[in-house]
Amino acid sequence: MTYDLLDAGYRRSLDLLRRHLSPAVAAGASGDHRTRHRGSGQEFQDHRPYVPGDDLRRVDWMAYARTGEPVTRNLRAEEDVLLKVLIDTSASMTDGKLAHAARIAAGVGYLGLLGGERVQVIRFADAPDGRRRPERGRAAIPSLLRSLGPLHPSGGTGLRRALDLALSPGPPSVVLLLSDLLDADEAAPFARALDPRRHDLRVAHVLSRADVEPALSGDLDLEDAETSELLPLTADAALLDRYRDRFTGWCMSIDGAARSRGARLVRSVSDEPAIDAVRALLRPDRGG
Amino acid sequence: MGGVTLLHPAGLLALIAAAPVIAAYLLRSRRERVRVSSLKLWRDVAQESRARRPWQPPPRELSLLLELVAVVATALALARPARLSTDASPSRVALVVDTSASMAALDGDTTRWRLALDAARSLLRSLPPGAEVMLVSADRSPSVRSPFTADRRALARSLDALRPTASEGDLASAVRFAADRLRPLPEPRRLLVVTDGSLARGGVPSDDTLPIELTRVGHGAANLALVRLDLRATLDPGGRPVARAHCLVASFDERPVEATLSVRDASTDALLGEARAAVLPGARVPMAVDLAMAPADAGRAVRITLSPDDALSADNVAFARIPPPPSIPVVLVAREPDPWIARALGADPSARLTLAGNTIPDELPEDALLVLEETCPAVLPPRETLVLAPPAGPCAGLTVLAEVDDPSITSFATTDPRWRFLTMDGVHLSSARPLALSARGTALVRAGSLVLAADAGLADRTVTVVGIDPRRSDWPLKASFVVFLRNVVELARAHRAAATAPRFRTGDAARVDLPHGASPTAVLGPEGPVAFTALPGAAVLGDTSLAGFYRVLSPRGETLVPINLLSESESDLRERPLDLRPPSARDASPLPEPVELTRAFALLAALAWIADRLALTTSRKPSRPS
Repeated sequence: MTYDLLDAGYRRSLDLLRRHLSPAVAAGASGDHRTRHRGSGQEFQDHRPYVPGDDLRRVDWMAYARTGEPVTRNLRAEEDVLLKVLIDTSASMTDGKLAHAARIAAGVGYLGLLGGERVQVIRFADAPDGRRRPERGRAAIPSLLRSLGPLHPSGGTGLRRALDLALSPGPPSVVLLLSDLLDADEAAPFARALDPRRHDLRVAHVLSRADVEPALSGDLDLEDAETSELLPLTADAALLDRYRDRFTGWCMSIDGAARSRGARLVRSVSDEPAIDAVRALLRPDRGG
Repeated sequence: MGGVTLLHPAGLLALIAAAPVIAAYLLRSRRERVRVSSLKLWRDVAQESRARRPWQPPPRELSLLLELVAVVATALALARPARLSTDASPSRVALVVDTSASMAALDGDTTRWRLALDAARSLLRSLPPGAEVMLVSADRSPSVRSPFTADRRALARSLDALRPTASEGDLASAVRFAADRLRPLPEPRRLLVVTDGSLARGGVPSDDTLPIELTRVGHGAANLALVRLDLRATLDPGGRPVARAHCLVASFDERPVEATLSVRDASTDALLGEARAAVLPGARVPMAVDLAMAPADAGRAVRITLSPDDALSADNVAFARIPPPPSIPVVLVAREPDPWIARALGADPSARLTLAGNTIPDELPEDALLVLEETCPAVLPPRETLVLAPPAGPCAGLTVLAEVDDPSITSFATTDPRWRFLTMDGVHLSSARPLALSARGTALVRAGSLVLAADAGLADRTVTVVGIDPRRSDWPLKASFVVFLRNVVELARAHRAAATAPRFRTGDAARVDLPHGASPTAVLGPEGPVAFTALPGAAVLGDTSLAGFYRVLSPRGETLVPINLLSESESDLRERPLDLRPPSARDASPLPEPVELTRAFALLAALAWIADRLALTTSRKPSRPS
């Protein structure tokens, strides 16, 4: 059961996709991943004009000889990256959303562990469960998978508290949030200003087909999966059209919030291949 | 103030239909419950949907409400609600209902009484809710059946308990009675009268201060009635005693009628005699039926029936008792009967004389006339009694004084039936024993200040005491002596016959004398016990509104009293104008008719149904999303 999250086909796809994460943070410890930040590593990244105070050891004398302008070499820092996987297990993660999220998380975590990063899984519903310690290396894959399954959706969505925990001061990290974001405040993940040097926030917005295209008709009592609250309504074509409009608007507002905070957001429906979401999450920044 | 009443309250039974409506609402299938991840988006959509729609589909509760409104409105429409005008809202109302015999008359498929009840109920319903109503029945005398009350149920019960009687009506008396009770009360007040207009006694009085609102029910009807009845004992041409029923039959019909008069035994219904006669329109025809009788038949109860039966049954039947035979037993008690007395009594064909010697026989016939000569025992048997020449001393409550010589008769009671057709002039007395009267004695013959003959009668019999000794006067030689004795015999016969004669009419406060001074213990009328007032030796019957035999029970046995309608005016069921004074302007205003609201409620019910149908057919058409 545990390894169903990573069946053979999925693993083959992941292995093909395997690549390094490109964290935009400078980690304190050296690891297999390279940050986009300039640091004291040995790999050349680019030049910049010399300013007084720069370490003279970094002045590229050869460039100075060619151009007559003093420039300083920027070196890419080799950093130890912590991947925090926040997976929403609230009751709203029904209709296969939780399993889909777990599969995406397993894929990303698998690649992270193979890439030498430390991976920590934090499950959250009403409150985050931060008891699991970060683990590193291929040997941690079974532990990763155990922490991701099987999961049962229950409880409310304490998204803000989970993010408080994940984005708390500490070593630089990549935070992967997997949630349907059906929290009362959909802007919660993006409410706080992120320090781009310390945190790289990536969001897998996991939805079910019922969320996207509800197949409802007639007199209904809709029951909230989290609160059991009932909403009587009559579902007809007009109402479903309005729902789709509202849904689209909601997604756009989330997209806008993510963009404004520099977070990458990937939307995935539970009946779509998880590998697509993994690929999108790990896709290198075009500007980077 | 005005009010609302229901003209047909039974229509409210339709409210029962509310039960299945509510049951259907409760049993109607529930909404399908669908679990969604979150109501976050749906809530906004639902609110937006409601805000956008110009017309919102009603909730199921509204449908239930509409259906209940329809049911209630339908029930109210069936109950015929009516609004009472403000003007027609008196606070005190006297409702006089005619309960005389004519109200029992048939009127088509119904009766006048049924129509009167409907009219009375309608009047009650038309009154404002707070009005206090007094119900008065009008037959021979008025009677308050319900005092002023606003309790409609109590009034309805009192009205339902009313029955038409078999007695003459005196509506005028009842109206005056009700008006007297209304007049001291403050305005507004109304006097309502429901009658068939067949009034036996006068018309309906009118009063400017208290106008009468008359509701007349029923239509004129033809009727044949027994209006007089007398049963007498006589002798047929063969000298045999017969009881002859003399009846007067009156026609209130426009066609001649072949009438049959039947006399039947009231106990066995055996036919005793029958007579037929053609009764012309408007005629009064005497009819007689002879009944062969034996001495034991005296007092037997008979029912006289007139046929064909017609609109009013109460006047087609009468009740009577067979009178005693024409001859009366006379028992003469004397040591040596005076031959003149024996001869005079023996010459009377209606007297059967028996000489009993010096003592009163133990087995004295019940209806015998006792003649005592020169004796007067301390205790007289309860019979009609004549005492002639009593010895000095107490006698029948009087005191016989010492003999006086040569008294001269100065006066006698010419109006007394015993001294009818005779004179005491020329009667010479050599001596006589004057009488000292007690409180109950009445002088009949006087000689100056002396009383020579007196009546010492009791309640149930006549006792005549004569201090004149026939042997010491020339009175036996006079015709007046024979006439006197025959008068005494005739008086005894009359008293005997009166005991069985049908002398009471329905509605009378009948005083019934009981034999031997017995006291009544109970009175049973045609339909059960009847209230009565007990007097020594008599009973006064309180309610004689029904025709038939009334049985007065006493320790000495049972006395049967026939009571009949026998009213020519009450039996006249033809259409008659009411003797009502010309109404004033206020009188002329018709009884305010309530304004029916039936149509309004019917319309409301229809609208509620239509709204409910529209709501159900336009709001529940789900379509699957594409």
